[in-house]
Amino acid sequence: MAATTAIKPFAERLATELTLCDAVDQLFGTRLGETLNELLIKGLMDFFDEGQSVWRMPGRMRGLYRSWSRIARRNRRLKMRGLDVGAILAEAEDPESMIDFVMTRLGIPEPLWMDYFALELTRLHGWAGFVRWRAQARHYYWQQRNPADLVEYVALRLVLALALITDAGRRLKRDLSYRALRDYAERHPRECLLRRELNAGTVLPDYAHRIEVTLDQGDPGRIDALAWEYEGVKMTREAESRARHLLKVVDAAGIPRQGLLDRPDDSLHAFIDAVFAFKAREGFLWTRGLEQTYIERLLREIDRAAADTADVADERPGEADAGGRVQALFCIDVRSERLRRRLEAVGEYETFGIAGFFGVPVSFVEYGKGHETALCPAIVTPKNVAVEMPHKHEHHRETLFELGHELVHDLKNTVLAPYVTVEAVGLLFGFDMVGKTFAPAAYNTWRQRLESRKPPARLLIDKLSRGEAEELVAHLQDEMVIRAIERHFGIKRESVTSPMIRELRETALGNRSGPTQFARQNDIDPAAEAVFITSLQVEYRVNPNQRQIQLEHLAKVGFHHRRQAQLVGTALRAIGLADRFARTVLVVGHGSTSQNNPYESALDCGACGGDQGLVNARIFAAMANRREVREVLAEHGLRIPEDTWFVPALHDTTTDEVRLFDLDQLPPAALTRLSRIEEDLAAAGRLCAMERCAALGETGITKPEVAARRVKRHALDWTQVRPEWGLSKNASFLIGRRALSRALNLEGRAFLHSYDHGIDPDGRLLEGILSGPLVVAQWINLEHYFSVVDNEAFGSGSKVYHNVAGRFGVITGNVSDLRTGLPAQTMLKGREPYHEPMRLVTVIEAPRALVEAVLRRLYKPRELVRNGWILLVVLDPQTGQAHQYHSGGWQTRPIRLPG
Amino acid sequence: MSLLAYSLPLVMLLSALAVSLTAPRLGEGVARISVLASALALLLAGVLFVNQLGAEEPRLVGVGLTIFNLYVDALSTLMALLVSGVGLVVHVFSVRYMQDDPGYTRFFLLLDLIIGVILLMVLAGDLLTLLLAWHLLGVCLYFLLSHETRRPAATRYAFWTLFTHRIGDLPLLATTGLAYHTYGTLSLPELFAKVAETPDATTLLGLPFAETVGVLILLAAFAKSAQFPLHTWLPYTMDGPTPVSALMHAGIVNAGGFLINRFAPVFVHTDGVLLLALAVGLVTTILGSLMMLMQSDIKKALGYSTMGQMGYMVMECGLGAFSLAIYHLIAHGVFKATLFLGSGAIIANARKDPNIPEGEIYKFMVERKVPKPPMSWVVFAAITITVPLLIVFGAHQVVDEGFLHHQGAMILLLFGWITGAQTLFFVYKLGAERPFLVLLYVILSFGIVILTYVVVGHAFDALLYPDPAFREALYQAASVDFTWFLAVLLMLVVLIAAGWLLIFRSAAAQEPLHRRYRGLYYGLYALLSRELYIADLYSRAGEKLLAASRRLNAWLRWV
Repeated sequence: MAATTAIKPFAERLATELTLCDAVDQLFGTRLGETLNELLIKGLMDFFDEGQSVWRMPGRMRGLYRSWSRIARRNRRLKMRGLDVGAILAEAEDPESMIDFVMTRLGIPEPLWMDYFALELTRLHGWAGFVRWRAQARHYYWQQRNPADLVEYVALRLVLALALITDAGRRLKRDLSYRALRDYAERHPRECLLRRELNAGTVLPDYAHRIEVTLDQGDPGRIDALAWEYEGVKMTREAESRARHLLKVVDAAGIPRQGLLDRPDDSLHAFIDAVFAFKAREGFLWTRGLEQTYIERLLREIDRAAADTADVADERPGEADAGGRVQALFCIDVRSERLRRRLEAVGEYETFGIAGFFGVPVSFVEYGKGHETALCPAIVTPKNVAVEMPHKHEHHRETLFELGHELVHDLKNTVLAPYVTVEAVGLLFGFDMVGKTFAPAAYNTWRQRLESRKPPARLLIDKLSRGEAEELVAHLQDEMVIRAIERHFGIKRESVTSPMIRELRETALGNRSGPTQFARQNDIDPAAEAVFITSLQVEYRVNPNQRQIQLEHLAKVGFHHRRQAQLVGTALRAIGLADRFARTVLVVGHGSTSQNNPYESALDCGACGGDQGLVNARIFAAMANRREVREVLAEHGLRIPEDTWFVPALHDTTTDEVRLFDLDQLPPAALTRLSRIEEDLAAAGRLCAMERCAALGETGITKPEVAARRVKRHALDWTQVRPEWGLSKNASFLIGRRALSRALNLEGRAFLHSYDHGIDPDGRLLEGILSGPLVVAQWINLEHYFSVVDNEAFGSGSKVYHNVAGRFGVITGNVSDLRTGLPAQTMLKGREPYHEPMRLVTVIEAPRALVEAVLRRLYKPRELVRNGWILLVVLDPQTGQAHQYHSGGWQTRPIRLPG
Repeated sequence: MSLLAYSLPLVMLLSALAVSLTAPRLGEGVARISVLASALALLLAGVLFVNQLGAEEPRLVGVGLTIFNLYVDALSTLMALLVSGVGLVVHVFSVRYMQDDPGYTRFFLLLDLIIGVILLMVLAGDLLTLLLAWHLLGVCLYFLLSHETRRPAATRYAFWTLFTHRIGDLPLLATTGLAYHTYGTLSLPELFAKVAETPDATTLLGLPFAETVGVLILLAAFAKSAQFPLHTWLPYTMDGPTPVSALMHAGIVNAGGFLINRFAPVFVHTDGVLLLALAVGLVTTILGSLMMLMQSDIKKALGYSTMGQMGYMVMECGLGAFSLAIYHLIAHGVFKATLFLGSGAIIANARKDPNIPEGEIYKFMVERKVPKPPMSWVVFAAITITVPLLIVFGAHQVVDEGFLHHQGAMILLLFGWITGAQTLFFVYKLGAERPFLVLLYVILSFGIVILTYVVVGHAFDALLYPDPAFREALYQAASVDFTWFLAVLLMLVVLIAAGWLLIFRSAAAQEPLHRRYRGLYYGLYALLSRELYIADLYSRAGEKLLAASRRLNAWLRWV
């Protein structure tokens, strides 16, 4: 088999595998592709910037194409690069016609256009992917403000490509249109071959100089002769290297060489070809090996555990008295598995797995931030808003430290002030430099004390009735009136009566007119009064329009209590927690702590849109603790005892510490139980830290306390590029009762969703699990899969070279594609992959017929299973069989399941 | 004593050797050797510095050769302390930060090597040693920047650095030759002594020695300290690992400032040469910050900011404030290294404060924002313009009244004034509940900061240039005709004050300036967003050069 026939002839690859820029680069040794990327990325970084630059790109609100072209047009003076972008931009107004113009000018035949666009899009897949995501993210603030879509992106690329090709054509004195290049490639295939070899870096080193000289001389006869010779030599050398490789394989396999060498040439050829044909499929074979081994082991362990527990049956912790027992809801995240296992070993805990947003999709307005953040999986768009309200409405005061910080930041970002600033305060940064490097734990703990803490705050999650909303608006307006009076007239609250305030408010709202009691009493003349009323309307925004807007926004706040009951009920039923409630039910969200880590959100909760899970836990607990909600639930047959309390908590996945929250909302009786629970959690966390240290390869860990200190250090250390392994090594998703996995050590590799098919006869609950959590888990699994199989292409490479661009993304070095996936430090240990590339092994404990029925109803999960993105195993408790889905059919084997 | 001085660079060089020998056996364990060595180096530098504080006279120590003489004085020991301190931090930082890197041991080897070379450079007592270290510094840096061997871009950009640094070697080489030709010596103290004896000596082509060498030294410093138009390499060094950037911005780019200070005894006898430093430094300062403000990625923004800071440092030298330049490079080094090492935290900050305006619900329900009381911008502008001026001048008056007689000082005070005004403008924009109270705080703290800064500046003066007459002479060397200077100064003061008034007025009217001068704004943006086309010019020149050499190659039939 000839080496060169593996590659299609150059002419055919044009516009299907190579853009014109690529083709010119390969033929003439230019660097158009690279230059195009650099020019484009510069523009993209300026446009998509979310606040890094102080002097921003002007006119961004007009969209990517228009704002970019306005700047590019002014670049016309840049003749030395020969790029006459301005002239090109003058040809068409909108991106669509620009694409049409460029494609026509390049002479690419219309049937190839779609292929060509696809090619252009894959050249910088990170940026293209970002633009695509943004274009559909309608709620993304920056997309609303500075819109961009893929059409504009392609138009930008094509404009630059045309400019570069035109310029290169002028310099090379050649026509570089599609037609011309194709003709050239067809007419001079040998010259093309040599040119490609030379410029694509695949040339045989000892021929490089000869080829270069011969091409420069341009004598067609000599070029053909050289190409002929070169092809022969290259083919021979490649065949030799393949033969050598085969010998190596044969030696490694222990097959005697002579037996192979004695065979006829044909069969040796066939051998070599087979070995190399296999190479392409080798990786996937290993993946399948990993997967099948994992499945076998998992099923064997479940089987063995079931046999063991059958011997010591009837000792389920659930049957003990309700007082000592604690139930805990954890996120399905693989990192919960460790803590759950340890916690169950420490005391009488019954744990459940549920998607970390606890089934409550919500937009959250945090105190001190003031914009909505969607806390739910990316597949859901929340309709309700929860607002965090401080207990006391004081003006938020920043500490002097923060004020100073802000001031220095402000001074840094000017033209002439940074210099004296650096001389004045530069040395103070030495504290950070030394403290964070030499004593990260102690220093960061101390520094956090300098920052102002958020005042205690509660979540407003209840829907307001129309009357309540009106009352609230009126109340807030009264507050404004009081402050306005004090500021304008210096009159304090004690000399103003409530009716006067109400009267002023109504006047400002236009519900009444004429002089007010307030004006009369304080001798304010009508003119001054009118000025004051106008000021109320304009500056203090006490006016009918504003009132209407406020009422409309208020309507979005909170959940109606029936809706709350529905959310709580669905979540509890989905995990099979419908009775036998313990007195304390922990609702544990999770988040991570790390320093100096652009990938920190990859360590947070995927079910909460990459945020911490605490807010959802707090909302869920607050809902479940409400009397009205419990009444509605009871109506529907879900009875939560009165002395059962839900307590929200946050699991720090970097340190395995768990903190309880909202304790001020619990009755004293419930509080007494918590100190023991906190101790249990701490103990379990320390045991997890031991496991974690072993996985991270820490040495010198002798006791759990030492391990706990070590992981704490990881969380606070700014030199730490691997604060935790995150979800690396995730392999499986178990949907079933905890009894199924309780006796197993799943090594933090399994997503666990609690599910009891016994209370789900029609499969509605399973439907919810498969269409939500499973899909998200599969995304996570695939992100890890691709990040590890080619970390440079699909992952984001080493963190050591990362550079945060525009406050939203990561690039490598000076200029690069926007990095996707996960960094090498999370994927690899040394040079070996740490995460094992496996497709998600999904185990469902339910009758097979039920699972099949549910899958028939769900498009996306069905396609994932059918197309082999998910490996499905159904454990049928009714028949005692394990069914593994395999290309359209089921492979069945018997299995024992826990009772 | 001489042993102590020699052991300083030797510790790091030996550590590099030890790392390379033990790397196959220890693997990532070599970091321990490296960290230990750099801790030892810091200790030695500390002892050397304290020792030097006690001893009055600078000393030249040698091994009896023309090369490898070390000059131990306040400047060299202070710089050694800075370099070894930053070196230790970078070492400790890299132990975990670089873990699992395929070139882990090579990285530590190079790190030790480069710190050893910098220490040799700051301690160099003769021109040959200085030249050697100056040259090797660029080479080591090249290897550190191209640490990622799999990315062609890393090597390409590292080559820019190497190239510019080679350009910077040439003037120093010329200096060495000229010094030997004119005075027959390569030893630095000896050279300085001879220059002081016969300051008007001429050299090749009848050029005045002091002025020629002054210009050459400035050129060498410009290349290493990224002065316009030799700056492009600096912002494009981000393909190197983060700790390298930290080390570079704290201990390598400021080598220019050190070099100029080292040759202060020559600059004293020059006339008008320092104006070049002033002009180039000022241009670099302004361009550096302008382009820093436009960068949309954190590392290049930090890179351009360093360019500006280096410009300011060179400008200070150009104004005759040599010791202030040293203070500046130390303060900036600490500041910038910290920012680089912590540059990954940008995402955490963005999550905490994503720059999104507050929603309607929040504004009205949670924050209950009361409109700001109308502040008179005129009053505020008047305070902003006058108060810092009084504080800045007052502080210098308190500490050293003679300072104000230097022209250079006046220019620096202008910068102080602008900074103070910017601070007050910050308060104005903040629109706090009680603006005048905050204003008082700010003015107080600004006063304190400026006072300490002035005191520190004078401490550096006393440490580095204890002879007041010499300091005076330096300022004199940087001075120009008085009436001329006065006219420029007055114009600047008026311009700055007018600028502030304009800014305040547009802020009060809530009409940003860029909206009023839209055309100009777009034009400037387009110009600066291509970084003044300097990088483009470079690559075009590079391409031409390569093409020419290729033709030459083919023509000469080499290979």
